[in-house]
Amino acid sequence: MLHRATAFALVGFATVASEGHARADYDFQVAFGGGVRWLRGTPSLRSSAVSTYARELAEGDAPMRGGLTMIGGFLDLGLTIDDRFMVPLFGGAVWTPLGPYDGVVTSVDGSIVRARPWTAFSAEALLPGVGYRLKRRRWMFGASLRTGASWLEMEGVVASGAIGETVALSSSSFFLQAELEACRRLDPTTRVCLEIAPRIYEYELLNGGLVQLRVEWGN
Amino acid sequence: MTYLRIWLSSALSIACVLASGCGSSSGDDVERVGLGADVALPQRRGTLLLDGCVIDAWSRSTLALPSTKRVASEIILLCAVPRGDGTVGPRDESATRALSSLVDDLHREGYRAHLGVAFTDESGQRYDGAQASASLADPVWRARFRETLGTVAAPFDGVELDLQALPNDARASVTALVSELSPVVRPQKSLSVFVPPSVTEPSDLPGGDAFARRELAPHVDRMRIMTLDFSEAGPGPTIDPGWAVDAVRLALADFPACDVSYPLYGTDFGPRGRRSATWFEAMALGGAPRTPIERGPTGAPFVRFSGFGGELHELWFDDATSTARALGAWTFDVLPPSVGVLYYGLGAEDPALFESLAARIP
Repeated sequence: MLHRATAFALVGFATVASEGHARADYDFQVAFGGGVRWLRGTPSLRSSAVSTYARELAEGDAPMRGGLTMIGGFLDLGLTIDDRFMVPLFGGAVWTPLGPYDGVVTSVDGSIVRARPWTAFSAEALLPGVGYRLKRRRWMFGASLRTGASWLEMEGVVASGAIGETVALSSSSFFLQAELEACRRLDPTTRVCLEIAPRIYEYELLNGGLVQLRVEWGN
Repeated sequence: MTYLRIWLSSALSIACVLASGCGSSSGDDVERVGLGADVALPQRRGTLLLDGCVIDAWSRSTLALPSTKRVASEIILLCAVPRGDGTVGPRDESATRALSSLVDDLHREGYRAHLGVAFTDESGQRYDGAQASASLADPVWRARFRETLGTVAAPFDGVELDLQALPNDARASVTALVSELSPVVRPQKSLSVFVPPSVTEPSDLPGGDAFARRELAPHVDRMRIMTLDFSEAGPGPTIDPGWAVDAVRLALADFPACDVSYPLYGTDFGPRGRRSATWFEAMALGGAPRTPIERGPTGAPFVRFSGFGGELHELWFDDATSTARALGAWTFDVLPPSVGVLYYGLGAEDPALFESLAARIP
């Protein structure tokens, strides 16, 4: 009886699925991975308000200099339609600096500030995009445009005479990136992908990009 | 599954890296403001102040440099003093001739020359506040001051009043002195006053309210805000650029033509008090292996050393690097272009200062 009920259930699901197939075949994918991100130019950072011996310093902008190379990881959810169209949905990524960095001597409203890029932390919300993919035997190639929001924060020290007070410096931006990926199937539902994603806009036009490896689950 | 294990291991490694962080400090700095910055220094009206009546050969050489002329266009000689009865000196014929000749030299070099009046006695000791206040309150004293200033100031292009350490109740007398002096000096010459660097109203400084900026405004051409000697309680930089911004902003609310002051001298802090020092003195001390030159948070260099009897000293000073950082931090959105810079203490400066600054001014 149980086998018969299961058989009926499978037939029913297949019928619904085939009706769905008549409109569009879709499948969710989950991916995670890690990589290296390059920010060509660090944007001006907003300093938090701080009270020092020398003055009450309100929030202000600290112009920066130089770029950042960061290492990080991400988790992502996407949708594939008709096995060809990709709709990256939502995800998140975190990044931390890689390598040695010079302090950046800058200023906020006339006060000297020394920013510490090696303390930087960046978090990103990955938002929807659109793309297309092709399959060749065990290989798959895809290209998509992806949106997102990026947050960057680092420590700074604002001068107050002979002493320094720690201050938080941060900035955020919308971003648009082009994602190019090449994937190899490991088994029917698992793939490993190399992805290159130039950032078309992040704080400014063509401000870096990222290279990452990802593992995907989904058809 | 092998691939999966590899990727799980990779993910775990990345998580560990993220948790620990792998960025580090190189130990060096790159400048967004200052000499090494990729943006030019804002060009401001510059004034040099020499504390005295004589310009030595060293400073004459400095003034002759095209780079110095690019940074500054006028010189203040803090030279004149009022005597006890209000008579302004120096009055000796030889001194008057020497000053006149000096002013001619400065004009030939292309500078405007201003006469600074310091309220000290003949030995160079500053009048204490009570004495200066009593003199200023006396109409006879003020009249004598007004009548005799003209002779000393004759060859100069302007007059600068440097009143210090006055009590707050000298406010009316200061305003009276300036308002009575204004029609005598102007419009042939300019009249300016040195103003304490208050950052609050009422003033946070002793005697800061002796200067009613709004009442003085119609009678002067410039106010030089004395943003100097920031560190008085203990060792520290002579100026904090952020504090100087607050002081100038407060003055700008009352009068648009203000200067921010920047020190060319250093200060040696020892157990027996403070004394002024030159860049050369600091560098000579800092050259020894056991007394390296360090930099404070503002960028001002300092050196720790043992003086006579093993007394511990800290000498804070400024050089081209720290000066350029402050000037670079004072962008036009922080201090408007009308704000000039008064470089205080010609002769004590880093000899590379003006060449370095001129090279970074557009």
